Amino acid sequence: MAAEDDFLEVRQPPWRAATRRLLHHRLFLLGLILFGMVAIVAILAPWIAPQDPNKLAMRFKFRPPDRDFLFGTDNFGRSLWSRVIWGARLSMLIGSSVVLINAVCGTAIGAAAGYFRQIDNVLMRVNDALMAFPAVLLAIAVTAVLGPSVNDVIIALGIVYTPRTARIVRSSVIVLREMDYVQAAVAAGAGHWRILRRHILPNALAPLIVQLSFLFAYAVLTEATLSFLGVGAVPPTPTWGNIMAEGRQYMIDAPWIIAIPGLALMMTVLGLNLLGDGLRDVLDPRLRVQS
Amino acid sequence: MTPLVEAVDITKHYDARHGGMFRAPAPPLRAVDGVSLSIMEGETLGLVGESGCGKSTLGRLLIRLLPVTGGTIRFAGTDISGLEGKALRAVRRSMQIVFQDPYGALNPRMTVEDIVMEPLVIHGAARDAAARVAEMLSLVGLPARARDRFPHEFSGGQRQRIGIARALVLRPKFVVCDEPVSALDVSVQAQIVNLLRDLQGELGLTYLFIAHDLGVVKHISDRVAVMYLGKVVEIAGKASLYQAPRHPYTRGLIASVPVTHPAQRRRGAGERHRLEGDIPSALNLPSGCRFHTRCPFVIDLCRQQEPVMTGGADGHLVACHRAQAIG
Repeated sequence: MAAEDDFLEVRQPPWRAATRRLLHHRLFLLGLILFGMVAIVAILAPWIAPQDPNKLAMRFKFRPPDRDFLFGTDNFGRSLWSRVIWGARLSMLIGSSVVLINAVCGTAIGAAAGYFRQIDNVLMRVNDALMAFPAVLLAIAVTAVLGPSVNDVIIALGIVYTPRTARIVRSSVIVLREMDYVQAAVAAGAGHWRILRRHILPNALAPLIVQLSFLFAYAVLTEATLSFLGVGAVPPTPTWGNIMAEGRQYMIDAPWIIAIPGLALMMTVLGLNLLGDGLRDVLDPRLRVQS
Repeated sequence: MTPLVEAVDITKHYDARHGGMFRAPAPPLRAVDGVSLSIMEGETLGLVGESGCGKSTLGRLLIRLLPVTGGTIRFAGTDISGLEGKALRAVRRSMQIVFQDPYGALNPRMTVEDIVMEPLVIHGAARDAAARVAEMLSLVGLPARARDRFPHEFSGGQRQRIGIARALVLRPKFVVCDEPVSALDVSVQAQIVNLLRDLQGELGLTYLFIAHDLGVVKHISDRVAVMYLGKVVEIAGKASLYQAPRHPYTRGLIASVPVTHPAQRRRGAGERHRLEGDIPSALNLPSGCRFHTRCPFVIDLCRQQEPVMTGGADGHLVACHRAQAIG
């Protein structure tokens, strides 16, 4: 039985194979490039924006894209390039904050519901009630209560999307808590906290990461919807949504005003969805081909 | 010999799906339905039965992995069925389990060393933990360089060795082996069974060895208990059980062990006892003797009255009205 006693000479932690597969996934890489461009522009906004995004210059109004104004100007002569860059910053800020809130609250609620089954029913019925609302309507309702500011939009979107994340985490936890290695930890005398932290949550991470990358896209999209409807961040703060709302009136004569933030939004959401698809292909064990 | 583990009339009932607020509550699923047995210090008690008969549940009840619905479990003379918190953790040191599925039994994100060390860390024995893990790995026949590998790098048999190392690192007295070889290749099965036997001698372990394969059980057990639908129907020393089974179900199980040569099949009364039909639902148990629906020797009494465990001084106990008549 010599073969029994020899194990594979592949010394690698489980995540390294996943990273390698990701780097060979073409659509994932395309998504990474699209989203990465938006992210870099957003981070560098204060240094790469050529003009103040809120500086009015009526003599330059409705300039189509040219050498001075890369993306043209709007009805107040403000540089659209600067405004879209600053809008990207806001979108990224809101997207990443919502993802962070979700990762923390969604995991906590989902893990509690899935692990401590006594409170499952209460938590999940509240969850169901929140999920029954259309996302945009619920977000409008929350901002109506809290008032329209960037922080309140983040809180509103956090409340809207946390139930979805909680549900995903809960379903992973329910499966994982019945695994024999969890039973072995119980038999060894491990407490709830150790079991959750060492055995359940690390193994629930893969579907959560996938969910969060899609969630980033939804958050960006919903934020744009809210500010398009005028219940997001207040003008003159540039957001892709309120730039498009203003541009809507001049769609015929100055189509670039509405088209450019729209394209930026599309690029971001497409990039994130491709990222999420790639992550799911690589991380979701149900789709993984055993090698 | 003194009993290390004693179960007195233990039951495990699961609430069946209540049909919501508009339906009457359904009767419970009786996974383990009044089992009494004792396991002597240093012995191996084999536990056999068809899938779904409650043998895994019974094993998990004995080591408090599941709470009992009723009855008493004594470990080394003390009642452990109601223990909680610190006291429960303290007895867990002495009772461990080896699982059937070598893939599901190991956390894929922990290294072998972390997996085997965890019980030591939980019980505050971290001082010489690394040395004890190394010693344990060599006891189960894994090379020292296995320490910083992840479970996916090992074969099924090797993973089972890791699982055994984890179970034994606390030096327990009692180990439930829940079909530890059923998922392994036949050639590897023998290695693992022999390893378990060697370790038993070396560490003075007491085993409950659960299996659905009478052959494996015969090899390792001192006594064997046969379970049917949540109840132990026969328990006896290995020789007595295999040579003179008294319960028709045990006879059926022995008759259904495949023979190595077709000519052997005609010999003996095997053909008469071949099991027919399926195991009834534990949600709706048959009246009287729970085996009467499949028993070739059934009489009216069997349908009306549940037989109790009876037996002689030789320790061969059987729950069957007809045991004398068909003997």
